Amino acid sequence: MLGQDVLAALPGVILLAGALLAGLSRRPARAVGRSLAAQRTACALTAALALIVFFGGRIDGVLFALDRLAAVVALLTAGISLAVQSYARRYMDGDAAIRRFFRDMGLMAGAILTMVTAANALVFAAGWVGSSLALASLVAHRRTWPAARAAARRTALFLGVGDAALVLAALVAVAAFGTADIATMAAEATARAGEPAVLAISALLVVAALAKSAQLPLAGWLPETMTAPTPVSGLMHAGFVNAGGYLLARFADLFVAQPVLMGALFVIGAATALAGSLAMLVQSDVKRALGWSTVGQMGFMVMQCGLGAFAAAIYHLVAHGIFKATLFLGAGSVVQEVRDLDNAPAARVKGPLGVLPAVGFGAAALAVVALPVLVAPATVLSGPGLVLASFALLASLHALVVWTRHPRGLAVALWPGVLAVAVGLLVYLGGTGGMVLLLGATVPPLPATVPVVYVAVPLVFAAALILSWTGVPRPFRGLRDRLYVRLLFAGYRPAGGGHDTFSHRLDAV
Amino acid sequence: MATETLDQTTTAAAAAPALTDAIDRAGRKVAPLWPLRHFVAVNPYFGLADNSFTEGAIAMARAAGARTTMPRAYYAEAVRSGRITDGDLAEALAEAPADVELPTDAAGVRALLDDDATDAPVDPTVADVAARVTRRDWPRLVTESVSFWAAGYFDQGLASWPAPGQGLDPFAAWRAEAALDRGPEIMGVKGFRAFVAGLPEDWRAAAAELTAELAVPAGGLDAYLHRLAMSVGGWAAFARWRVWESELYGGTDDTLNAFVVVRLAWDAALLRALGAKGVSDAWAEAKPRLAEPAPADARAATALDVVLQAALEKAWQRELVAKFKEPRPAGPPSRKAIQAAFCIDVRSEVFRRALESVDPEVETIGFAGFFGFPIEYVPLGQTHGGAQCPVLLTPAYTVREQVKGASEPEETELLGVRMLRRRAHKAWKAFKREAVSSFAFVETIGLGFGAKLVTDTLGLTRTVAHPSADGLDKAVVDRLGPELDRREYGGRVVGFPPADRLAMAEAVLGAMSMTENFARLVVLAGHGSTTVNNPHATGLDCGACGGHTGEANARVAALILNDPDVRTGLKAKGIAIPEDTVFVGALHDTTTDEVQLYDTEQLPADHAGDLERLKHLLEAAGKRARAERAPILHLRDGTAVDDGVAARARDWSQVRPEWGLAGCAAFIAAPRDKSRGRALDGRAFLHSYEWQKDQGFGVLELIMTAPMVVASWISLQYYGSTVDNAVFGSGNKVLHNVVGNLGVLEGNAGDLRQGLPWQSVHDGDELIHEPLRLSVVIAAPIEAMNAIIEKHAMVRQLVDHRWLYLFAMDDDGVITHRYAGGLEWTRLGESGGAAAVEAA
Repeated sequence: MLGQDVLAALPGVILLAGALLAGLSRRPARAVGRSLAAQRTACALTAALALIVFFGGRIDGVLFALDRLAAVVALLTAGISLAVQSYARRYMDGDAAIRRFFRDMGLMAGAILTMVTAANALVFAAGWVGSSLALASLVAHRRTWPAARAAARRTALFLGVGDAALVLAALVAVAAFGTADIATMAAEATARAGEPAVLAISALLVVAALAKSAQLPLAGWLPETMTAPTPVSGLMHAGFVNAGGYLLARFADLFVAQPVLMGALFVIGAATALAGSLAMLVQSDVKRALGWSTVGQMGFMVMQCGLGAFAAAIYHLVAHGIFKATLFLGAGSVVQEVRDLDNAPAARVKGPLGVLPAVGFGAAALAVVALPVLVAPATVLSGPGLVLASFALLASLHALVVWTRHPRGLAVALWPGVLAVAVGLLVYLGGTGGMVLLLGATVPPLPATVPVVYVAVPLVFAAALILSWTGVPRPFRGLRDRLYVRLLFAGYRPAGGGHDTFSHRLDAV
Repeated sequence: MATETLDQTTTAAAAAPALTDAIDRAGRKVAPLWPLRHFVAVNPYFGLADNSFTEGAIAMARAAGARTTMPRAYYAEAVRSGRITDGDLAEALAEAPADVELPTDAAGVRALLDDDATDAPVDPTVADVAARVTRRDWPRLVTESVSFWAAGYFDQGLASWPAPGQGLDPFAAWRAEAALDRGPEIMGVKGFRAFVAGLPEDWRAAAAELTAELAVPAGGLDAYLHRLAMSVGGWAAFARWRVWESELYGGTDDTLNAFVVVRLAWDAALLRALGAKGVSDAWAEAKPRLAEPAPADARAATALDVVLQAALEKAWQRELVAKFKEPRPAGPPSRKAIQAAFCIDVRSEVFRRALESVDPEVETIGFAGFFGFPIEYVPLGQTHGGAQCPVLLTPAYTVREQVKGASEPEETELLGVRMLRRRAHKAWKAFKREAVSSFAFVETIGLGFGAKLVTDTLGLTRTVAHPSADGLDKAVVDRLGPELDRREYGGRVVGFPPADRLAMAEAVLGAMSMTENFARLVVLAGHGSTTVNNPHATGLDCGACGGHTGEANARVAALILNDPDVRTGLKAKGIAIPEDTVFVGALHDTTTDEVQLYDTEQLPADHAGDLERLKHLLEAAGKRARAERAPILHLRDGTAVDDGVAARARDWSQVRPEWGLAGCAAFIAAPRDKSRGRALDGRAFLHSYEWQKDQGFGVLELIMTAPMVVASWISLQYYGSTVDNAVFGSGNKVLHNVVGNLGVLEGNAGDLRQGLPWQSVHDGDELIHEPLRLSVVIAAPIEAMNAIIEKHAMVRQLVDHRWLYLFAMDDDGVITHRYAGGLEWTRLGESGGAAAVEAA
């Protein structure tokens, strides 16, 4: 057993050790070198362990373990952390606090890996809290900057709520179950679902997940963390905020037996998904827009958990992590992105396709859409399946509308558009389905039904979508502008107190 | 009480025109900020050029809390290391203003080296006063609130949901939004929404009401408004740019004025909300300071800092003068094998020296990189393009990008493909960014970004396609080039009429002092940079081309100078270009020091050998130039330099792809043989100029009113970003957050940032840019220069108020005179500085 413990814990330990060595290095170049060496080793090791888990079986220790769920998330964290640190090596060159930076980045990734590989609730909580502390330090990277210090305080405060809830949950769990072993808790959860202690543990875990994943009403801290250097945002949006989703999946057996909590997750997740995405739309700066987008995406992930679609949530978490890290690291390119250039003279738009190819495309598209329904009707046509599929359909519809909106666009673009959307749907369903297969029994299966009232959520999103096409009707424009202002300043509260009239004068750049 | 308010309002309304003028004056003290899509250097002290450097420093300290010199310790170090001599100090003291109390000699200055500098105190705003009284950070609340709103208002397409008031003037737009914002009230600004809603929609009327409420002392209004503008200085600078653009094209623009009133409204709102808490009394007590001069001790301390700065500059000038000590009489004119004209940009100096050192048969020429062709260059598939000329000018011609050798149908076809790809990109982006579809997008495509993350990290892919190449295949991109034919295209007249071609060719050759001894090959090289994921990328491109690469201008110039009709016309005007002379357009990549040649397929067959020779020379020169730049790029290993430089240009995480114009310190307008072979370390703008060929000194006038001014803008941008990066620079690149597709914020919020990132002047260990005002050296008769200084108020302000230094070079290439102000010149050697030259 000890060997298995060591094996499962090793990637996290290597990162933590690398971080400490980096912090202790005297020369910046050496700190960076040590940190990156640890990152590479940990990433390679995680990949090897993941292969063992996928093709062999669970690595099962007392305090640390690696199952398929943990392997997927560990691989994501180690991979993104390596990419982000490789980026930071040159990006942060010449920074006065570069050693501290690499130390904290390593600590954050190491703490997350510790949490991911934990088999014990107390170890899990230690990793969880550790990553929060490392992040707060990184948000205040430029210690002399009042705005950064204020943002760090805020981050620590919001995350502190979740961290306290988690620690409390772990302690109550030890008292109630007589053990901190997560697998034991999960095994007994269903049978003991009616006990107040189990409900309390589950509720505290929900609070912890909501804070970490920046869900309403604890969302405001996330868009304010941009006082941290860009690579921090890369790692944070890919490995840190989605820890809420990992917690929900890891302790899923506790929640599925608590319909009220599942309902709460669904509602809060859906509300955050909508609010976060709307707040993203009004942001005029790229990093806050990305930040609010993450809030919305995490809302979607939590909503998926609320539906009981844990595999889908993990898939979302992974896909979003990679996606968002790439966008953050490339955020400096936004100026060069192509703008609308439809004013081109003399561009000959190609005529409509011939009838035969059109019919062919159409048939292919329909087949592609129909395929998943034929292959896995039970999944796709179940209650949660339909709610999730409705989002995919709305998105497809939107893509199609935007694509064909050009005055001459419909004739040109309809069939290629339909085909692209169909392929997209296939990838989407394939990805989700693939994750279901990959995770196997490590997460509970999709429930067969959900309350009918859940259909209200896709309807609200559909309404929002239609408004985005048509514009808001005149009588409601006052309301729209009010909403704009609310969203623009959402989450923004400069810290009062500190009399620092010319705070910027004191900054060391 | 009611009567009193009424009276004040009536008085204020009557005084409205004077008030509007005051607002306008305040706005004009703000230097404009160009958007990132064509980011050009601006002198941050632009609006203060009518003050002496010392007075400008005091004004900036009062309005923005800015420092205009380095910390005292920086100079102390230079004095102690012997870099600044007592002679330099004495000379600087002699030129200091007489109305401040300063030490009488160098020893006196030395005694004050360890004193903490006393800056002039910042002028008060209500927000500042309220912060002191209530101990809460109101200035930050105000700046950030204004900045949030302004980001939406000025946004150039970043937000998917545009701000509702974009069609209104800034004040009306702000008023409509702020009246809905509960935030300030939650923060403690009671009655904020009602106050805002009660203001007139017209900014002039509102300003009258607001200034009446604030009861600003009459003599302090200008200072107060300047202070308000600078408290949101980044956005004010962007609004100033809008005014600049409008006025350049003959219009007028209220944007900045209306914007300043927004800030005024905030002060009045704070006074109304917090007045009873002691802010009223504190404001009444503080505001008389607005009308008073800065305290004498602060004036003296600032003047001393300026003396130390001047001494540092004298030390540098001593070294510069020494480099030109050996007389170099003009040799007999001869025909070179190759001539290559580069932009005056300091980065060209390194490359030009390298090129000439590779082959003595090469002569290089320096000229503003737009080669005298102010064009609007319309990219393929658009109807409008960027202005590719110095920002002081407007484009005189519109030039269209074409696909060379493509028939009309083929081009239409290619355009169609480009449009289709762009539409797909747009749909893609909408899919990605819309509130509803973004979730499914992530699940569909998110994993695919894993591959992009890897290839972007390895530098194999670019984060996004370069705007000039997007939607086109590589083979097509290689065929893109300017079309000169005069015709109508997309509803616009493009190209050059034949008569204009001749006139422009004659003008540009004259301006380059290039009227005889043409080589067989004459290269005209514009310049551009290659960087990835760099918001300030266009800042590394050619400023003389308005923040674009100089490719199009160089190619247009070469094509026109190769035009047989133009050649015939030139001959008639006395400029005989030999039959076998061919002009070649080129682009010098300042990041990699590679030179790309264009349109070489049009060269006559018997020039193939020359072309081969040229290519080899350019390659060898590039290698030398890279090797020279290697140490400051921290590329020390000899063999890896070329690869290292290339890797930097592709690296999405590189914050210092190249050093831009860091180090720039001198501007030299003289024949190249005077500076040839003299290692100027990439610190000098080199403009070719032979006064003997300049009848009526028209070219000299052009040089002193355009390139010299632009060079001083660049030098002062670097200067400001170095001495006070928090105010005049854009801060730390690793915190940059692109806002509105037009500028950057640092982190979440705060004001829009201007100037250069700290990484562009500092390598983490030391300053790479030494902050020095520009030293201009011109080889021309002093009387001719005086006539131009006298004629142009702008030039006179720059030289008389010490925003730059002016020197005269004699016909032997020796720097002989220094401009002393008031059209007086001092012969070097009569003063201490020159004595030091003799000693050195």
